[in-house]
Amino acid sequence: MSDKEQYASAVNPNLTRASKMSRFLNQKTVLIFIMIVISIAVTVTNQNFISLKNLFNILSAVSVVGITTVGASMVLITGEFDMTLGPVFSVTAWLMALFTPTYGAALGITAAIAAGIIFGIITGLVVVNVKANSFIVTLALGSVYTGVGLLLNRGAYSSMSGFFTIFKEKIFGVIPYSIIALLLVLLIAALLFKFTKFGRSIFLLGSNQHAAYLSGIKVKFNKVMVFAVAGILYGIASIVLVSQISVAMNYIGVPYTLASLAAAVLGGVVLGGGKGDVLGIFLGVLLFGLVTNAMILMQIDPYWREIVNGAIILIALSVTGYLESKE
Amino acid sequence: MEIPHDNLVLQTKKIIKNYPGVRALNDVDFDLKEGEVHCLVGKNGAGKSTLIEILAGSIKPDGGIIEVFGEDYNQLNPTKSIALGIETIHQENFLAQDMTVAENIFLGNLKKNKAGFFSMRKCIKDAKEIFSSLDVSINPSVLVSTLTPVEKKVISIAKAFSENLKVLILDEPTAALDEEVENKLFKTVKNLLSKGISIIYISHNLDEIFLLGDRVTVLRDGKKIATHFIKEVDEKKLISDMIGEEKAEMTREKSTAIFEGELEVKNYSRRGVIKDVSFKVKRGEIFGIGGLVGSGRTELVSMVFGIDKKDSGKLILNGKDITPKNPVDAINKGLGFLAEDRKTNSLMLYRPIYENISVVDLIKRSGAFLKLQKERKSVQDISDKLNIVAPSINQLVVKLSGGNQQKVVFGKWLIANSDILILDEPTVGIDIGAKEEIYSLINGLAKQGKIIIMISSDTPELASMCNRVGVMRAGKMIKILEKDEVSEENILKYSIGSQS
Amino acid sequence: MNNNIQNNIAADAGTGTSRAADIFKKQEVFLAIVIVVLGVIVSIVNPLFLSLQNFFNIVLAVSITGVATIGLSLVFISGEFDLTLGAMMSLQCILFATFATKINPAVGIILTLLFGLVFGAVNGFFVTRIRAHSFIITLALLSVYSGLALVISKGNWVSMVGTFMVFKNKIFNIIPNPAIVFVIALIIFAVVYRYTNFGRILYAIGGNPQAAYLSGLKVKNYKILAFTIAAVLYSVASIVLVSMLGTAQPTSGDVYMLEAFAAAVVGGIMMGGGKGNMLGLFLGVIVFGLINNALIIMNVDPFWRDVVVGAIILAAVGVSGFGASRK
Repeated sequence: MSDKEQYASAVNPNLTRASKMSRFLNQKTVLIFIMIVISIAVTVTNQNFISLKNLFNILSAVSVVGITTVGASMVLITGEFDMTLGPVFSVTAWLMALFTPTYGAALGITAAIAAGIIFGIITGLVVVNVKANSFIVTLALGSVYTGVGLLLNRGAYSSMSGFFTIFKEKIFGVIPYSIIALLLVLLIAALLFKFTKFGRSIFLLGSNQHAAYLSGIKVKFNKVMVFAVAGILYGIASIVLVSQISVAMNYIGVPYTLASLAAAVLGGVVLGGGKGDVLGIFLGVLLFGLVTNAMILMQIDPYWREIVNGAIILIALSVTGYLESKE
Repeated sequence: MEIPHDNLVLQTKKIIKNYPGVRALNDVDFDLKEGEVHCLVGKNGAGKSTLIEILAGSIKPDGGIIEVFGEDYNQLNPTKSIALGIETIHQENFLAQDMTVAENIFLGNLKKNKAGFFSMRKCIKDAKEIFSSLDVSINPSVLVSTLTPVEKKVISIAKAFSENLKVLILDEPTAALDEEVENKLFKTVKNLLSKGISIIYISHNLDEIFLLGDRVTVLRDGKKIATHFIKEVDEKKLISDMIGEEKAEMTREKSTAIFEGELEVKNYSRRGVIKDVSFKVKRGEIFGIGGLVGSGRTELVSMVFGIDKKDSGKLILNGKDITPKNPVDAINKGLGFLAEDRKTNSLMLYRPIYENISVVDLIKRSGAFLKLQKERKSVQDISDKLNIVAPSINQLVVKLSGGNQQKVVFGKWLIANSDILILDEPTVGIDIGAKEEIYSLINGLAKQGKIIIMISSDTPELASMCNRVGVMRAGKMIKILEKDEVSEENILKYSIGSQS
Repeated sequence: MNNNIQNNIAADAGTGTSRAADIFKKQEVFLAIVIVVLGVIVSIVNPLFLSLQNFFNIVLAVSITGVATIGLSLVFISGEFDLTLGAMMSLQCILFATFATKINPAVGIILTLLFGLVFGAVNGFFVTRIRAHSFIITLALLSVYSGLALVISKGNWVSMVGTFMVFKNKIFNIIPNPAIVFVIALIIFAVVYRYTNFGRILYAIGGNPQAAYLSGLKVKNYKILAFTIAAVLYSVASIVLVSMLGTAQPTSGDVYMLEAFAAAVVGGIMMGGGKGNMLGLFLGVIVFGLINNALIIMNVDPFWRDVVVGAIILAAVGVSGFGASRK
């Protein structure tokens, strides 16, 4: 190893230093740096910020968007878009709230996840077979799913007040179950990415679809699978949310589409595919949660939240872009 | 403008260009007279592209002087070159496909009417003027996307044409073209000459050079070998200048091990692309495919590997039909395809080395889970064996040199233990050292009893590596050179269609 | 090799399809057929459909989306994305209503247009400076603009009823003023695209940026200009909207983002750049207006609307292969 490094640096003296620099100065370090700066600034004015309780607050607040971001990221990693996130989420949330009071949570959960899979498979099949940008294809499918949801529920709320409230609760009264759900999803995604053929395949085909095809990867099959898995994750996220707020209505999932895309990209998932990891996704989601939490603690007008969120994405992208161009 | 001594438009004196480990140009003198076509020939890597890029201003020389119209320059830049009247027509056409021909001609300077509005009429009218002065018979009001490849090339040339144009550099203008070249493209070139424009013409096709050229300069290994008047030289002399005295009978030892069994490529055809190609390859043999770019070599092997559609064709191994339906099927049947243009077809650039090397093997294995330790060990072994220079196998492939990237692609098919290997331009764009390593690797594979088909534009490489070579021209395999016939001269001769 | 193969495949496909089939690949023809078929079906069910009054109702209903879509088309044709459309319209609605009530409508119009100019330039600046996809950059800016709308309005409605209601009126008591604005904008930009160097250059930049760059065109400046003009058009759409409704909400414009995207793509404005014209855009916008109108006139369950809209988009991109972005 050290032999090779020496040889490499003899050929190109900047190589090893550059690669060390880049290992240090990547998007994740930028995110962590921003988080540290914010944390210090907030702690000065409000000591409550740095506490385990507040950390749990932050994580719990981002658990739903965290789970949808994992799904959205997987699709982005294959080089596609999934704008059906919000519509699918809305329908699965509604199914959960509809079935749980009458048939029990088990059936509610099953219905939500089954619907997520079915929508995901349909989306995947359409995306791989229609020769058009997946952004617009999934946008159209999203409209169809929204319509299907409306036709099913006739625009009515469904409520499951008092049923399946687990994600409102905390283990030993300390750790919210919603955090456990988020961490489990992240852990499983990390294992999937690292230890399975499927996980490896989606990164490779996202990086260079043609090369992946020539190397024997079943591109279309894997893409459909990714949309199906993403559908499951939207279903799970909606279950967590409905369990917390007890009602589901149309369009409840809509804000999650763009929020998830933003968090994914902030976390280093690249539009166009092939790049991204679970730690980055987690940091991207966490940063948004941290900022929101800090602004609440600092009693800043909540209307500033979106402006700050947008500014943070711009800053993070500018800094990483600048670092990459320096390399 | 004053044009000194013998109407010399442009001259380079002792131009030097170094790349790490290679001297791409070594004291090259070159000159261009007013109104002449000066051809530039040489094998791949002889330094032709470097020389013209220096003239176009996109590369800075490390030494020597460029004289343009009597003025000396140490280096040029693109803006300066264009201001001096030097324009380059690249192999790739840079045209907006969904716009009209006339608009493309004036893209940087769209025509307006008196009211200040864009005037398609005026564009078309002015384009017609240019076309009639160049005797081009293309309708300027049609969309570029409706033109034939030759017409697009002519448009690229007409686009470069202006009052200011003095020197036109044509870089392999006919490489991707087959028909209509003579009456469309060459006519335009001759009309440019009649307007006093001088042309530097690069081509692999010697017929064209004898048809168009006034003088020809041969480059070899970054050195100028000779400049001849076309009238005073013949094909044989040019070929021997290009190859050099040492001949390519290099000392490289060819694989001679012969095993039981053979692969038969049988009756491959696709209308307009490949015409009934058949050949056989024995186990332990390296079968070369030669021919010019565009002769159908890549299309043929893409069909064999199941990527491209075909009208007919069977792949038979030891009498058994193994014709692949698609790449997945091909890989399962033991084929490996090292495609040309590694960045587009072979590498996941932003993934680490180990993922790139293990991909085929992993996909072939059953089971949903990866065996990471085993994977890392086998990749590390391959990486050591191939001598891939990188801090570790976690390095992103994009950060490797061309040679190391190519070794990664080889590693992928080695680890997959492919029985039949199709190598398309396995050594393009990599340095000499890495080339030698790859040569011995290929030889080693042949000695193990693999079946190897190798495409190359590098004729010495084919001549020195292959037991037999099939030469392709215009979609046909026009000649299969057997053992003793395999030589650089023969490959070149059949590729360019010389009958002598 | 990739290119070769693709060319060959394209060549094969070309020889396989006849000229007659190619006609149906033209987006305008496809849309015209959809419009005629829909028109015939609806007028059989309800003869009221074929009245001048109803025709103007349709145009009125789409005129705001239409103006915004014209703006979006500039960005699309130059090869970029603009997700800020809806948020920026929301902000401009708030700005206009605020200025119009606090100062006067004339100043309000001028200031709103000026702000559109500034915001558009900001969009273009970031998109051409940051090395990231315009999708994510404009997503971040979307967040900033919708935050600004909330901050300025403090989350409240701004009413300007009775102040400036020109766009509630009709010329000759039949042609609605917003429709006039839409048609004028259409004509102006049909001229811009066809008869100005700027318009032609946008096609060139979107179609082949490398060719444009090598022809000496300042690609970045033209892109900034495209974003700027687009934002001014969003301002116009917002002014018309507020003056029709009499009130502005901090989310008034949000719905127009996806509507404009859908209308643009269905109208043959190519994502990825280089293709599209105002006739196609007009037909695309009208198709959506017609569907809404037909559903009402035919008394169809309004919940079918989203399903039908999605299906139409899918059909348009699927059948004609439009909306396919160049990679």
